[in-house]
Amino acid sequence: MPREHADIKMTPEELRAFLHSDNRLVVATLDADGAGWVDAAVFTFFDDRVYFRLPVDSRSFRNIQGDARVCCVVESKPAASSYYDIRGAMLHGVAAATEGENLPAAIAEALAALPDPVTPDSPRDGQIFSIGLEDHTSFMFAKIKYRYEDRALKSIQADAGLV
Amino acid sequence: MVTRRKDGSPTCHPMARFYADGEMYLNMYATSAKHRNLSRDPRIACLVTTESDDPNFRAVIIRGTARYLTPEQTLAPDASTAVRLARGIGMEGVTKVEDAPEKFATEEPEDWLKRAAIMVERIRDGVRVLWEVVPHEVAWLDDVRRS
Repeated sequence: MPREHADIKMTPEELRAFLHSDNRLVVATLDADGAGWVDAAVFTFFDDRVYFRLPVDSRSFRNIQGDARVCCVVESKPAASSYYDIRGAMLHGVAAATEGENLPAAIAEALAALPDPVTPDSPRDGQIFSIGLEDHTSFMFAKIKYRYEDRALKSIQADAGLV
Repeated sequence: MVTRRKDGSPTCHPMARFYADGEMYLNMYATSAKHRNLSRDPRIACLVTTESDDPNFRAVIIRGTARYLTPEQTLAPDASTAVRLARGIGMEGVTKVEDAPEKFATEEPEDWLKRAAIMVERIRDGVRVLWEVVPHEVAWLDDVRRS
């Protein structure tokens, strides 16, 4: 069976449009013993970088202090959606603390307007980090719709021993 | 699903999870990076969240160890409900629309039936594999985020 991954990748334009359309991501970090930890954060996308905010008393923030390598995931799968509506991107990189003159005002304002997804009533402060798009994986399942149209259903079911 | 890449960095793959009776399984290609990552280091962390358009975000974090299932274990006739869900992408026993019409609310029936049948074929051939998530920590994310 051919792998499908190469068929489902977003174009650079599709990726940028997708990242502009959302403001919540999942961020993976590593504990000191190398075990994975995962959290959620708000983000904004600007000039090909994803800027996300973490509380400074969070485990994710502490983990980044020890090892700044992260993976941020943005995924769209609405409740009333088809398998082929699923889209997403995984961004790997080193989380760079971004503040002061290195933090454009527009980004600070955009993030300040977004409540934290995990604790929405908490103050909208925290450390802002950013990562780029240099190491990313994306997927858009709409691109593989009808991929089995050249095989008859009964033939596939017979091959699988289901009928 | 969070695993570690070959260089030790974290990676996170969005996954469908198949859960029943306290058991949770993941289904993936045997040639995938996530399968290789788990084979190298079975420590796993998962974040189970509300749907992406749900304004009231909730999430449960599950951390533990991943356990690989052989094709024989996966396709065993007496497999657990969760394994059955995982191996059939929730479509086990459904070979025509009339078997379970409610399942096709958002899917084109023939395409989904094809995907379900091909899944069985791929598991039998070792192309796709199941991993069980064996938890040692399960908590609401907002309870442990600052731990």
